[in-house]
Amino acid sequence: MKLKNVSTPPGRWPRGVRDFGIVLWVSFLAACVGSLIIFGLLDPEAMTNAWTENWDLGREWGYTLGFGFLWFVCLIAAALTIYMVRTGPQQGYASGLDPQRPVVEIKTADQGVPVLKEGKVVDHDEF
Amino acid sequence: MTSSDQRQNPLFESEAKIYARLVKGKFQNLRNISLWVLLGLFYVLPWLQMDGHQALLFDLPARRFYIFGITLFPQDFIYLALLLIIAGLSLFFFTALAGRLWCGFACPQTVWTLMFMKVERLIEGDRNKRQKLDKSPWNSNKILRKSTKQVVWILIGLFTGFTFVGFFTPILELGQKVINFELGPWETFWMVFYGFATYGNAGFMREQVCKYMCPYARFQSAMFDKDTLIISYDADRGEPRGARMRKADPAELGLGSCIDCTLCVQVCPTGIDIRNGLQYECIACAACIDVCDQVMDSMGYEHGLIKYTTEHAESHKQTRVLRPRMIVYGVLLLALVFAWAYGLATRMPMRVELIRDRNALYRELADGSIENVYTLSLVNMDRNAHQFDIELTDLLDGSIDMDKELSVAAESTEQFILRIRAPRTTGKGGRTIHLKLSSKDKQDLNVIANARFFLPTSGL
Repeated sequence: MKLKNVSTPPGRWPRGVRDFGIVLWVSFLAACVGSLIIFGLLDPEAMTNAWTENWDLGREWGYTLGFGFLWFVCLIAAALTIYMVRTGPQQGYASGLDPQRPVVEIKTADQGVPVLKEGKVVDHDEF
Repeated sequence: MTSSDQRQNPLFESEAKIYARLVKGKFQNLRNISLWVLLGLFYVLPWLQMDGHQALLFDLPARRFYIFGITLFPQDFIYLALLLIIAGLSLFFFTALAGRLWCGFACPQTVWTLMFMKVERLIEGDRNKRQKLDKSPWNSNKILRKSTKQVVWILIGLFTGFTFVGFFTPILELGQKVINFELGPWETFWMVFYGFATYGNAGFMREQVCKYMCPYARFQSAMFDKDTLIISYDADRGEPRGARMRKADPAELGLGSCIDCTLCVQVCPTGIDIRNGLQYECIACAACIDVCDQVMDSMGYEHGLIKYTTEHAESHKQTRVLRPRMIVYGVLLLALVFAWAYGLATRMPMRVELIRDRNALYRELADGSIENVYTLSLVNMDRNAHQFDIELTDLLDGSIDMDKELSVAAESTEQFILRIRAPRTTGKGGRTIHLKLSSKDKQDLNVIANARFFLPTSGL
């Protein structure tokens, strides 16, 4: 998702721009398929008196708003997906540190450290 | 598993199972209180009765929500939408104020995970015993403990599913159906589905959900600033870390306060080391604070090597609670809560819709007057039946003809055919007229409806 500090070969879009394009395009395609199916089965004109609110949408507005709504929902899903994939564990674990998380050596009682018993720290003789 | 192994095969290496250690302390007590209150609300609320029906019922087939004294109809969608916005804004407000309070104390993922872990500890024992049990061959002890745990988990899951469905279908009848094995396919599906989700999320996925699946975990850092409460290790005080005898003077040894016992790592449910700084995996459960404070006690050091603090406090600056971000969130939140409460308190428990007859704009009658026909849809959201009067507030020389008495039973919708007539001399073309509907038997119950009234455009 970061546009800065990414060197992009000539003729190729930076990753941020590509992500943006992919999200727009994929959600557009999904909304097209959704609209075809929905409006193949359902005539928006027939919904005139079926709305909760007193709306009188004609076919044109029904199609337009239906497609717009589907695109919007798909857009949110696609944008959230790419955001979740792009961020997260691969992005380093604490600012300024090596992106790979080091494995912590867990110490045990015989190494002279206090131990937990039933949720309470028990003093260890060693220290 | 060494870190070089991880580097070679980062995509397919599954993470080592986390056996979080039990810790007791101030913050874990708070978490337990939160756990019992929230679970108590979830499991008890659907059983409450009020006015002869379930106090909290989201009746989807009938398209109405019973929320204690209030009955919401689909037309009242705005109140639910507003409530969701208020919830979202509260999340912003509390995140900016005190970090991931939601994650550590209130998120259902946390709450059910805590409960499932309590069950696990009760049956399999604490961390060491669980690890040993997992490594041991399948003997009778292991089979008994593992299967008992599974059975209890599944039962809790199913009961959770049952309670969940009980928010949407009357729970007393649902209970009867369960006892008599008469559940319908949808009830069965949702009960099993929700039960399975609970079992999977709280029994197995646990904090992995927070790490990989939760969008809030990815976004929350955007709500943070340098005055937000975070859980942090005081590196200035703790480093250099190292083991030492209890009576040793750390200054003499050149050591900080951290004795490197790694207990903060062992109690962490997400398996991170808080000493490396704030990490997005941290769900702010404060287990590391509780355990470190105890270690400090046993060493005779001061509390707070790991503590709730702010970035500003860490760099020895003043922490400000009242800052523009908090004021904006706070004012918005208060305004929305007020608007919501006011709207709900003054909500008129009736609605009117006037729908024009679509076949003809108008009709000329034998006496020369013009008639428009409407379907009047009258929604009575009140708990009592009502009779209504109707009058024209403009078009005063017009008259109204109705096909039947305007009476609507409690919480129901009735349709009437309405004929409005006006002399031709009234004017030309379309105009908006207003109709006032008021209850005959209840004061202040009235609504004004708009309609378009059409007259011929020419030929007077």
